[in-house]
This record gives sequence, structure tokens and C-alpha cells, in this order.
Amino acid sequence: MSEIVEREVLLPVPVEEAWEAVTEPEELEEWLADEVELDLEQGGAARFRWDDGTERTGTVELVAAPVRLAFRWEDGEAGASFVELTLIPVDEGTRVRVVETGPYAPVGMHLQALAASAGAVHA
Amino acid sequence: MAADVFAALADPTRRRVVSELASRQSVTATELARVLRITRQAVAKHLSALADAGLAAPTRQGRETRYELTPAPLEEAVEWISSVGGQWDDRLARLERHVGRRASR
Repeated sequence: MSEIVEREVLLPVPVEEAWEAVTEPEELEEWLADEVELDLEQGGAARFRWDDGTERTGTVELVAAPVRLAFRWEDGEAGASFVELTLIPVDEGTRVRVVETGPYAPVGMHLQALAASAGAVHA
Repeated sequence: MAADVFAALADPTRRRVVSELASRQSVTATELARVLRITRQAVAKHLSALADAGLAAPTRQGRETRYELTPAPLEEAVEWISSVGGQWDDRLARLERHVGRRASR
């Protein structure tokens, strides 16, 4: 497993409506960032700004309406990471799965173990 | 910075060096080379990369240079990863509330 983060949420709406919520800038501004620009096509530019002054720029990597959106974004602290949103229609609505992967992802699983063994000797 | 730690630990031999450093108070490059069965030159390169990432620190003891692990950046990197998860928890909770409000209209 190379993901560093994998999360899922169930939205009580049909997949088309869930797709709008995760792709339209004014919808994304309700939950992802305070200001969002997103050119919804492969290679399109993305820009996310938060009121605390942080900002991320990125590129849309994949658009498959209404089930999959993937983009790369640049975080100043740890470099670029890849975010993939997958929408799965279910009886109760739409399941939204988020996976964020970074160049650091393969290291993530070793980190905890190394940090723990370091803590035991060097605490 | 978390990125430096991730880059330093991307190399499997370097992770073994960190494990060895973690299991003892301090070690010389020669001792490490013997334990890891790689050349002293290779060990020195890895130690210098780890030092650049803030993960190892050299101390002179008489004629020898001993290295010890400086684990703070490891803990910061672990915290960084868990903060990425926490951010998604917050975002998805907001998404759930937002869509729920819309669905009930």
C-alpha cells in the first residue's frame, strides 16, 4: 500500500450531484478551500487558497465524469502529491473515496516503525 | 522539512542505517559498514545525506567520529502524515454537511 491517506464519505445524493460538489469551484469553496479555481479538463490548471494564507497550485490529471477526478497539487512542505476522488453510486446515494499519494508515500509505512524504535533509545 | 526526511528515507540502505542508529546510542562509520556489509565510503555518503536531512549528527571523540540519530525530524514527518489525514477528515466532514444541507432543501 502506497497511499498515505485514504478516506471515504457517503453523500445522500445521486452521483451527478456529488460530482458537482467535488468539481465545481463554487461547490469546492464550501468544503475544500476558501478560494478555488479549477479548469476541469486533463492538464487544466488548479489553484486553492485558504484564509490562513496558504495556497496550493496544481494540475488536473484525469477527468472521468461523473466518477473520477484526479489532480496533482503542490504543498510547500512536502512537495507534490496526487489526489484521486472516486465516486461510487450506491443505494443510499454516492460514496466518495479520496486517496492522496505523494512521492513520500512508500516511506510513510517505514516512518512510524523508525520513529518508534528511535523513541525507545533516544527519548 | 518533511520533504527532506522523505527524500532521505526513500533509499532502503539509508533506512537500514537509520535503524542501526536507532538501536544504539552512537556508532562510527566503520562499525556501521561492518554491520551493514557495505563499504565505509558508502556508509559515509549515507550518513552525510542523513545529516543533511537533520536525522544524524556527528560528534568527534578523540580520533574517531561517532554518529548518533537525531530523531526529531522523524517525529515531525510522522506528525505531518497524520495531519494530512486530519485535513481530509475535516474537509470531508464539511462536504458531508454541505451536501446534506443542499439535499434537504
